[in-house]
Amino acid sequence: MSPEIIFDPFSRLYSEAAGLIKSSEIRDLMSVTGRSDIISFAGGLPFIEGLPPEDIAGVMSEVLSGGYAQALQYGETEGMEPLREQLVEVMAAEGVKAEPEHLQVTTGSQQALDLLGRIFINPGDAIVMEGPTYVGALAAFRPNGPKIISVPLDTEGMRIDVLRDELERMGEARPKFIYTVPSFHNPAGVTMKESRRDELLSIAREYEVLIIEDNPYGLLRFEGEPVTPLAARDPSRVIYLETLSKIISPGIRLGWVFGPSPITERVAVLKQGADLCTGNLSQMFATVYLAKGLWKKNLEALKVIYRSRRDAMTGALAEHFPEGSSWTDPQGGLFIWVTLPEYLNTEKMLPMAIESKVAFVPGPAFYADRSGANRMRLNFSYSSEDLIEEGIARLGKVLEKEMRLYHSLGLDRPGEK
Amino acid sequence: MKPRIAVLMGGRSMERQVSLKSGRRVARALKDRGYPVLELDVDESMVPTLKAEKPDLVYIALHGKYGEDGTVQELLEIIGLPYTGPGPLSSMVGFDKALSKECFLASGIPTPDYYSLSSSTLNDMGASALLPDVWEKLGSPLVVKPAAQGSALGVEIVTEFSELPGAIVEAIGYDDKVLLEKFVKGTEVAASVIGDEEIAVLPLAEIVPVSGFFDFEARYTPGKTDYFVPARLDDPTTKRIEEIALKTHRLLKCRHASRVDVIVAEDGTPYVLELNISPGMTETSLLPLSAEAAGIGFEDLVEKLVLLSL
Repeated sequence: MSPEIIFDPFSRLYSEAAGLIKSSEIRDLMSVTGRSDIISFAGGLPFIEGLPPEDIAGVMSEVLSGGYAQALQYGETEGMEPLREQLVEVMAAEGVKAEPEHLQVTTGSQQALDLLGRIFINPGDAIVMEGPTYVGALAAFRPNGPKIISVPLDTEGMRIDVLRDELERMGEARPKFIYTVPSFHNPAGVTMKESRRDELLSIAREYEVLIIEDNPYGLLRFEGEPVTPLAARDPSRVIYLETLSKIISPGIRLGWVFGPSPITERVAVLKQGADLCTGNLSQMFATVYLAKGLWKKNLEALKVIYRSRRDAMTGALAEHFPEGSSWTDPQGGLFIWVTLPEYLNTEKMLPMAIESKVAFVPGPAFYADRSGANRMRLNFSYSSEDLIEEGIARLGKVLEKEMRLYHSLGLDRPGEK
Repeated sequence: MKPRIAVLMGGRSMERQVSLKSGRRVARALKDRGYPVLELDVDESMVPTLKAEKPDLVYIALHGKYGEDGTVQELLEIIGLPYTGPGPLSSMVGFDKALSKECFLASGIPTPDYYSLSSSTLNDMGASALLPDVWEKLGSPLVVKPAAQGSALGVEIVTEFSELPGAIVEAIGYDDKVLLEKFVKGTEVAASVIGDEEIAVLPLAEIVPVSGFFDFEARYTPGKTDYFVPARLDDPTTKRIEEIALKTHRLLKCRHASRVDVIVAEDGTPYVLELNISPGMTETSLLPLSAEAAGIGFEDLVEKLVLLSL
């Protein structure tokens, strides 16, 4: 009898994609941040507590008293027709024109990312993403084995000049698509300016590349002039993703895809295999909530709250963060992106921050090549102004300690020995 | 009526997730054996709850700071409740790798050479000027680890001197005091000891991480580490390790269960790396693995520890 103990007798059977799944200390550390005694700027949580409970209860009872049998039944893969009619209205609020039959409802935008990744990516195919980019998009695309080309961002969004250079360099080996979060970027908080949007669209036409435009935050603009989505300018090469997660609730898991119909039809076929349909109960809840116009009221309330919280956070950052740090000043969305002095490492800083009862997401999570060690993402939507002030003050103290230590070890003078 | 048992788990340590896995598993085993169980994810309500509920025994399934370092043990002494594992002093010494290594050395238990540094010696006394000396004395590679932290969090093996300061920063993230320890190449073995008055060493577990390093990922991802129980060692070496494990358990006045982590150098010398006073009880943990090899199933093991503690 062999004395070897095998915990996972199935490990030989896993696909290459599943083989990538492993325990990670960062993931375990982040689980500590869910505790109520920790001020967490880590999650991307919208402020759900701001929804009026009587609205929710009213809508829910209307759904159940009228059509509970339908609400609890299977539904169509494409999504319920009345919901899609309402979603067209939500898109129109940002100037995107669509017909309900061209929309495909998904279980959150995240499902759309997963399905699109599977539709387009063969192992080794090039795709373009921003650097930094949405961590959930990295997670959705990666199992398909793409070669990820990262294009940097500045305060005006994706660096289109760098994108053009990359595409030129690639020659015939064109990327399958360009993935972008143009408005209130996650994690960077920046918005792609008008002229870059037009340039991006013209590059897509010129190089015959698709664009996946992920727009979960566009409606959450609390300052400045609206910038219309790419899909409103030229929908011909754009796959447009939107979601109710940030304007109503992430718990109802409702997103949708609007794009060229051959593509949305493929999304529908794949979705059938993934989960048959998105839950009717959620869809009917959202339909009534949207039809009653409650979302507009809620959106206005959220914008007031988020603006004030953004102000609290930028104010606290200016007061408590060391010289040599900088951060974005978003006009909407949920996130601020902080760049610390070059030599600092936010992953190494995280345990000490958690010990001081404050949390953030370290930069490398958002880069395909795990660069960005001196950056961090801070969420400002979920914590109250007082907690933001307190949490940033705690982070400032942690930074002070770290910098002292780096100085003592001679790590703040790169180039010297 | 069987005794009522409160299982402490979770808390705010860096090993919260591991502790929740241990604790839930222990609680389930106890319930299956018919014990009334109170599961407590440790927060500010812990002491009031324990005072009000007055369980017959507290099972400490906490890992890391506050759970293994004597903090919770101290509180339970004040409340006056019996608990699993050793008292505050043993916990304090066991959790601090520098303190326990000093105890090992004082009693002739072999342990790899080391030095320790803290952020205050680095910041206020210019200790970083000593790094070249440490490097020269201990040789490369060097293991940099936080003095008080489990699950290999913050541990790095440094092969280039230029990587040393960065590794120290990482380790200090977990504890203010950091060990710089001579790297001993060899076979990693865990010796689990159970008992109180009468103690016994369970079959030794040999650890072979696929990546070569038994880090956090290797510990908790099934398939990332190969385990052999009993360890593939000759009888004299096995016997030596067993003796050392018993000596270590007694020296630090451990109770009920402990796990002694040993590395057997290529010349056959077993070195004690550290002692765990609250060994993990997850599905990939070493104590339950060794117990299993001795014919003690998980529920039996948990019940045995409970009976020893009552």
